[in-house]
Amino acid sequence: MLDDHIGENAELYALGQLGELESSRVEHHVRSCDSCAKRVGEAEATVLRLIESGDVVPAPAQLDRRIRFSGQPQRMWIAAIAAAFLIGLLPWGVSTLRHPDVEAGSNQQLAMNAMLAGHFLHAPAVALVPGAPQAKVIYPRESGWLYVLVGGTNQTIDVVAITGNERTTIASIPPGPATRSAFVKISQRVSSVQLLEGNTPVASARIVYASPAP
Amino acid sequence: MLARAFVNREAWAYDAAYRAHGGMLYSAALQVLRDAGDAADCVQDVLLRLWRRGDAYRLERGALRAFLAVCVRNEALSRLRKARGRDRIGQTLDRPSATGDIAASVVDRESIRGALETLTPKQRETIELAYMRHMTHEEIASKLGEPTGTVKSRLSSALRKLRETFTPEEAFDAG
Repeated sequence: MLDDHIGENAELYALGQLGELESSRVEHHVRSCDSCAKRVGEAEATVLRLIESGDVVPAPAQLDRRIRFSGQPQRMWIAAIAAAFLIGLLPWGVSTLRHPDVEAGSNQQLAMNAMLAGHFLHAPAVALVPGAPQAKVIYPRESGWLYVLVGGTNQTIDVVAITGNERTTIASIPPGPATRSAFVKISQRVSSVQLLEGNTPVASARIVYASPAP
Repeated sequence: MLARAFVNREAWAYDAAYRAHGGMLYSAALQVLRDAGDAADCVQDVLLRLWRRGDAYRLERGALRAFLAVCVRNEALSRLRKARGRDRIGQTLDRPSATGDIAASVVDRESIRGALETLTPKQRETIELAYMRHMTHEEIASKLGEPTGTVKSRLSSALRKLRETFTPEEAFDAG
């Protein structure tokens, strides 16, 4: 390598021309060298342009299911019922006996632990279209996580976190008759959470933290 | 927000990155491997590896989409070359390329064709052998009868020339 920088290996790395050892050296170097990281990034962007100029097809549904890091819905009826109470969809009392097997998001135990660990706030979602599902967002007094609860719906609901002009899809809640949820850890504060059916916003919740942003 | 969350190893970011870029990542693998199952395995393995390692991507590197694309494509190339090694490399390379249709589709795109035309004939031949036929620089050097150092330098300069040719929007508006 030239002058301790990676030189032309930046482009060779992006083109897949380096062996394992040389690739590891490049990856190690760019972790601490901004100029080489930039050069590799530019080469990667050029290769991306070539990739996108070829045939680009949707990923198969099977891969979608395999990749889901947030996990598939699990049967956690205690957490689901707690979630249903929080959203106000179930009355207190006999519902625990009537709904012992409600499907719910796999991260609800995390949500319960987070809520037990500190104070939290909640924001009801305002319907933007007729027939929008009932929904609520629970969040801590400071940033750290969002717990989104959505009532029964026959559509997949994409959860979008909005910060200023930036919109990021943070979860996808599958359809179902029971209350569904998503627990998402975040590092930034958000200003609102929007729920989408396809590309259509159906509900929105405004997030107001207990203290101004640091 | 997504790129920063990816750097911070927030679990949702990996899912979100896949949802944002999954089609492109799968296509990047498929363009090389030409098998749906192998391409899906490749994408899944790369994302899992990145999740476990967690320190490969930095914001200073540029677009997360481009980083992921190259990670997947490089893994696909590695798998293809191992398979070629098992399949008698010389025969495979001299056979009509299984990716010929991809090469054709690439050069049929006007912007890419225009960019490739800015390269010298030698640069163009070398980048086509490397990118479209997935040959290593050693294989290209052997095929062209040139030193490997010459081929490596030519590949580097060709890619940098392509980068200059693409408009900023084309090359870097990748999220």
